[in-house]
Parts: sequence; structure tokens; C-alpha cells
Amino acid sequence: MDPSPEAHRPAARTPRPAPLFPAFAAFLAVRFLFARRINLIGVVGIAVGVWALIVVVAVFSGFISDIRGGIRQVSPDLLLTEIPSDASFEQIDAVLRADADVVATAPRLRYHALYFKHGAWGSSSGVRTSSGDISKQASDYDFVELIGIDPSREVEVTDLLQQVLLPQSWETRSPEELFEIPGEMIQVWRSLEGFPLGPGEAIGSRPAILFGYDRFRRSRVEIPQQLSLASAHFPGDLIDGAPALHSLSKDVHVGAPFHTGHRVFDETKALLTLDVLRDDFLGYDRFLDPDVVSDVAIRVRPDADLETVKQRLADALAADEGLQKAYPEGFGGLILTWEEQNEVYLDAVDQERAMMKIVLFAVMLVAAFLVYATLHMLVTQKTREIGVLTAMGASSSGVLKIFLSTGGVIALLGCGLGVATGLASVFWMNDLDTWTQARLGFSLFPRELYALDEIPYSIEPWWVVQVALGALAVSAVAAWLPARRAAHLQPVRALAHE
Amino acid sequence: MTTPLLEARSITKSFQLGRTEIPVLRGVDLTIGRGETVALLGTSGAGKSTLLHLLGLLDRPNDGSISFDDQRVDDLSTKERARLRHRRIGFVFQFYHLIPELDALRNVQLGALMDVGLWEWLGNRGAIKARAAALLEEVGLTDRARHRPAELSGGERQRVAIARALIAEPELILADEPTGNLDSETAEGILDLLFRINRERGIAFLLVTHDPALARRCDRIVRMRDGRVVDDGLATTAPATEGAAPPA
Ligand SMILES: Nc1ncnc2c1ncn2[C@@H]1O[C@H](COP(=O)(O)OP(=O)(O)OP(=O)(O)O)[C@@H](O)[C@H]1O
Ligand SMILES: [Mg+2]
Repeated sequence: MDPSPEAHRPAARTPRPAPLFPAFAAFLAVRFLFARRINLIGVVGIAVGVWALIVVVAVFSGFISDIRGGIRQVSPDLLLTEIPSDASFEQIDAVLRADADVVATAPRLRYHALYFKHGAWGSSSGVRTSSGDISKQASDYDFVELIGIDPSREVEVTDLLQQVLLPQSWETRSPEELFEIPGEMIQVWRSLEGFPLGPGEAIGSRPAILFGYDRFRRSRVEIPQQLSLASAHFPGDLIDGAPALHSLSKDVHVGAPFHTGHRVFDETKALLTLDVLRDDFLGYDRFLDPDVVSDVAIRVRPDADLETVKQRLADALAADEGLQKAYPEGFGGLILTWEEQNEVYLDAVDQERAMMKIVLFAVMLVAAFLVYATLHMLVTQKTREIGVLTAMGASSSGVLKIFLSTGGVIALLGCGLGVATGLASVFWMNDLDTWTQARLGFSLFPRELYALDEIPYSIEPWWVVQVALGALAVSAVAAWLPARRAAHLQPVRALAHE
Repeated sequence: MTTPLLEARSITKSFQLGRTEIPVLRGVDLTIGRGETVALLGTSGAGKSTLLHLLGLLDRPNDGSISFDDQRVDDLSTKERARLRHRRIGFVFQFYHLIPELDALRNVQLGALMDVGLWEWLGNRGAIKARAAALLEEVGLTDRARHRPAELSGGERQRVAIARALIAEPELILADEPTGNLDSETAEGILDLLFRINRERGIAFLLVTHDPALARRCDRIVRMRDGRVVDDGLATTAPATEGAAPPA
């Protein structure tokens, strides 16, 4: 049986390049994986990890963008603060408005006060600190940070006054009218409260104080209930060698509450007009004293870069001759962007989100461990088959690829399942929440706690891509170790494996 | 004698067990010609399986050389040896060693997928499947194509294993006691199949066996004892019974 020359093939035939991805690897990966249902636990693990990372971060991001939106309603683009207490707004304002990128400015004055609810005992004539006339129930006293604003200018700078909740019976009001309670309204209220005006007595419109809605409800005040504001200060004179304490007080009426998305602002602040706060409460003389402010809110052209404008305004304030003359030591003053104004709060929520991501990544590591355990088990179970495949001519890289592919299939299925269920859960979350509330009596998300009408969410595509890639990478690492073990098996020993 | 296909020269192999070295092959010379059938007889523990693994390039000898077509192959890289094994050598085992998850048809196909790329296979599935089906027909198992190994008898499994070895078109099949687990009637059928394949395709066989009757059907009989070849001669002249251990 002499072979023909063609039949006599040399040992080293011109070899075809080894395939990068041999068919048998994929062929077996899928069959090995689906042979036992337990092998799919890695798929479930990855899916749960991906699902959690998508859903929780989407809600968190929605929440954060809600918070940022809320903050944006009350925070001007830029805020000039740490203004010397005797500086004149007019003088500062002129410098700021000279900048081409500054669209509008609004003065703000901050002060702190206690407020006292008036009951049916009628109009208070002032603060009587040790009088039994005033109800001493703790709930009738509360502390609040007053912000005096110029309503017509404030609307040019922020959306704060757009957030005022007008009672249904009210027609639309101008910004100024929000801070004026008409006399007739007070008349009606007094009649209802049982101390009507005397004959011939007439009341003109009275100044209003605007509370955040939560505080408004919590304090159980009503429009146009009368309140007394009280505070104190040390003007600098001495009595018997000690600084004299001067009390301050002013009666105001409760106006329509505001409801911004910035909970901290709503909880802690109350709005007055600058004139009422500065002149009537703090006792500045409208004509003789400087028009003091504590901050200037600044609106910047939308296309301008805040950091650049901020720097330029700071330079302009420092270079202004009038201010230089008035403050030879330097005017001071600090300009903050809207993010810097709320840095602590924004950082806190960002930190929380970052922490959440780390915690959820731990879920991912557990999923990776499941993938590892599944493949480790599979390699042990399939040791003899690995020997057989080697005898059939599988290279060790081919064996490696069987188990890498298995890991890959697990990861792809897990990712697909996780992304699909994750996105679906996010899109239908509010429906689901409404349903659980109606049927099961619990809410998935404490909407009331955050004063939200619905669960906010925001899906960032880049995050979804990152999660999916992360899951694939983590599974690849988890699959690598068992796959390498399989590839390094001695074929003869593997064949003898029971 | 026919042209040598495989030549083993002075092969030694020992295994390390703890500190002691166990010599298993102590200088084995063996030549297998193209298209030749060789029976390998020997007592249990003589080193037959070890030799088979070395000839099949699954393991490396400690010393000596193995050549295929006058080309040394024992010193090739693991990867090259894997390719050579796939192209030129088929294995048939006593315990069939089919992949339990795959049906007969897929087990046979698998034999052709070792060095085919995934995309190439996807574009070529029909052809490979048809070849596998044709081989199953050749071994007489057309109606068992969709059965998994667990649903097949021992003889049927061995036929599938033979078809699987054939699909890569090897020049040499190394069979380690292929009928060792079968009753004599079934074994006879398997052997008829092997010899038919040898005749029709010119594939050389090295058959490890304990059965002298089987050995006599081969062209040559090689006897081993204690890691050495003690007798190597044509089946017609050799005393077939001497030195052969009874089947386990
Ligand atoms: N991996 C190993 N480690 C240690 N010793 C081994 C190993 N493989 C085989 N041996 C030893 O080598 C000797 C020969 O074994 P081998 O399997 O080649 O014998 P055999 O001729 O095929 O026997 P049998 O007819 O029983 O199959 C035995 O003594 C065995 O214990
Ligand atoms: Mg043996």
C-alpha cells in the first residue's frame, strides 16, 4: 500500500491560522451552561446587581436633579455676600450692573426673629417679654430666618416668587401685592375671630410675611392671621457698663405660603419686603441711613460662564474707587455661584449617591462571586470532558475559551436581563408605587417625606453603559480564574478523572 | 513493511510519586506503518495506556523521540501538538467519553469543530452536520442521531465515538481497549467496523487489547511487559496466546 505523493502529507503542513474563537468553545459553552439550572444562578446574580445599580441610581439622580432644580428656584446665578454691614446697596449695585453679563440684581437682607402667633386676644401692641398676656405654649413661638427682598427686583433674578401658592379665591397678584394684605381681608378675618373693628375704624393694607408651605402648615397659621415678630440687638450703648439690649418688634400678617423644591430653604426662611424688614422692624431711617443689605442676588446672561463673571465682578468691586475710598482696608465681599451657595447640601446628596454606588457595587461583587463559583463547579464537573476535548485536538486556549464564553454568556444574559428589568422598573415605578399604595397599603418610596408628587427618576444613558460594561468586566475577571484552571489541566490526568 | 507513519524511538517515561520515581516505559521502540493495524497486548500495568498517550501527543516522553512522517513531533509546542492531534490522530476510549450534554449527531460534529472558527462554522453548519450524519450512517446509527449518550447502549456509544474520531479524517486511530467494556458479540461488531474503516479509508490503527483473538485479526502484534516491548511480529507468525493476560 504505497501512498501517492499527495497522500504523503508532511508533518508540518502549511497550517491554517488557529481560529481566534473556535466554534466548539461557543458550541459547548451554551450547552454546559444550560445543562443544569443551577448554573444560571450567576445570571440571576448579575441581573440583580445591574438592576439595583440602574434603579437606585436613577431614583437618586432624579432626586438630585429635583433638588438641584429646587435649589435653582431660590438661588440666584451669583450671590454677593459678606457685604459690610454699613455698605450702601446703591453703590455696590452700580458696580455690579456695569458688567455687560449682569442682567439684573436684587437686594436681600437677612435677619433672625421669633414669631408669636396671635390668638383671639387681638392685636398685640408689642412684645411684652414677661407678660401673661401672651400664650406660653411652645408651639406658639418659633424661630425663623427673615429674608427681606425687593419683590419687583427679585422676580428679575430668581423664580422664588413664582413658587408662592395663591389661595384659589385670589386673582393673580403682582410681586408687590404678595406682600400686602388688603384691609378688607383683615376686617373679615377679625370678624371671624371675634374682635371686629370698631365703628369708623378702618384698616389699610398691612405687610405680609410669607412662610414656606411646610412651616405654614406645621405652625397652623392661616391667611391673614396676625403675628408678632420679635428680635433683639446690641446697638453698642452701655447701661451700667454692660452692652444694652434693645428689643425689636413688628406686627405682620400671614401671606400666601411658598413651596419651592428646596426643602431646607422652605423650612428655615420667611420672606418680607426689604422695606418692612429694614425700616419697620430693624428701625433704619429710610432717608438718613444707608440702604444696607446683606446680599445681592445677581442674574447673569444665560450663555455667560459663571466662573468668569464671578471673577470679573470680584475684580470690579475691588477696583471701584468709591468702594476703595469707603473701605480703605478693602471692601471684602464674597461672590458665590448658585452651586457654591448650596455647596454643603449639594455635596451631601452627591456623597450619598457615591456611597450608594459603592454599596451597590458590593452587590455586583457578590454576583461576580456567583459567576466564579458556577464556573469553578462547572470546570470540576467537566474535567474528564476537558481531557476528552484535548484528546480530540482542542488547544488549551480553546479550553480556556469554552469557560470564558460560558462566563460571557452568563454576563450577557445577566446584563440584558438586568438592564431590561431595570429600565422597566424605573419607567413603571410610579404606576407600581400607586398600585402598591392602593392595594397593599405601602409605598415603595416615602414621597411625603420629600414632599414629592411622584418618585423622581433620571436615567443617565452613560451610567447604564457603565453598569453594563462593569458587569461584563467583573464577570470576565470572575470567569478568568476557573477558565485558566481548566486550560492548565493535564490532559492525561483529566482523562483519568472520575 | 509499509511506509512508517509513526515512529517511536527509545521512549522512556516515569512518573513522580512523592519522592519516588516510578519508571513506566523503559525504552520503547515502535513503528506503525501507513494503513497498518497493530495490536498492543500486555499485562495490566505494563504501560500500554501510557504509551498510547505519548504516541497521541497528550503527554511528553522523558526521553526518546516520536516522529510522524519522519518529522519529530514530541518536542513541538503544546499548541502545535494539539493541532497535529486534531488533524492526524483520533482517539477511541474504553469508556467512550462522549459529551453527555450533546446528542449523537452533535458529539460527532464536535470532532470537526476544534480548529474551525465560530463564524466559519456558522456559515458552514449544514455541511458539517451532513458529514456527521453520513458518518453516523456509516457506523449504523442513523436512527439514534438525536439520542444523548445516556439513551444509548455501550456498543452504540462506541460507534458514536468512532464516528467522532473519523470526522476529522485522521491517519491514525489510537484505541485503548475499545471493546473492553462490551460483551463479545457487541465487541465483534465494533471490531468489524474498525477493520472495515481500515480497509476502506486506509486509516492505521493501534489497538490496545487483552483479547488474543482480536489481536490476531490485526496485521501485527506487539507485546509489552514492564515497560518494554518484548515481542513485535506479524500476527500470522506470532504465538498469539503467549504473554497475553486474560481480559479483566
Ligand atoms: N499519572 C500517573 N502517575 C503515577 N503513576 C502512573 C500514572 N499513570 C500511570 N501510572 C502507572 O504506570 C503504570 C502503567 O500504567 P498504564 O495505565 O500505562 O498501564 P496499562 O498497561 O494501560 O494497564 P491496563 O491494562 O490495566 O490499562 C501503572 O503501574 C500505573 O500505576
Ligand atoms: Mg490501560
